[in-house]
Amino acid sequence: MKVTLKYFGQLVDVMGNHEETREISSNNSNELLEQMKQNNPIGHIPFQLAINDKLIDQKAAKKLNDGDVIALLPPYAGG
Amino acid sequence: MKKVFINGPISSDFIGESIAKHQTKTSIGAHNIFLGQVRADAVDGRNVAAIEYTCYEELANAKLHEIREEAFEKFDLICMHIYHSLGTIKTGEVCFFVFVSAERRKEVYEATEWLVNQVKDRTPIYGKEIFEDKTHQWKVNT
Repeated sequence: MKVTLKYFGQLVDVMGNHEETREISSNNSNELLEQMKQNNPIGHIPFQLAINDKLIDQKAAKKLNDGDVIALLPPYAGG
Repeated sequence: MKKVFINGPISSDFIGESIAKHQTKTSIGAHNIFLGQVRADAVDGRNVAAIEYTCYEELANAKLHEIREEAFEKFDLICMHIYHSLGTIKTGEVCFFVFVSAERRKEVYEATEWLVNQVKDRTPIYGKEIFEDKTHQWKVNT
């Protein structure tokens, strides 16, 4: 299945883009994040996760569905 | 959903017109305004020339709506406006405008500070500090 990943702040630099669509094999949010951390140097950047515009608790794995939009949100810096 | 995000800096004209629009609301006895301005911070000998603001607009608008509702419950306000810039804002330009109105002054002081803090803490907005030499770093709120 395919999901859209959106990156913000420092993660834009590290991932090299704002947004990408990825084919993923697991439908578990924690597994996806683990894979991303293994393949990209993002382990040192704290971030919250939003699925389809809703913040989620990363301690509990969420089931992902085809077409989900997953946003990785480092600490906010408005103002 | 009230419009919060403005492309480019928030001009003095816009701020002045916002104030003028309240002259018909004669139950108001106190306005308070917070203006955030882009500061020319110096980091390791490099000076910030501008901040490029981006946001996750869908979530940001949802959070701003929550903040607005909570503010009206928490404080006895007549009117409230929040504006934040997106795009490149040069040093000295205004990027954040919070405008609160009530019958009396006590409420507006407290509400303004609360709102500014909530927007900074709960809204997914990002600032890329662009230095004069075109290098950049991501802004961190302190």
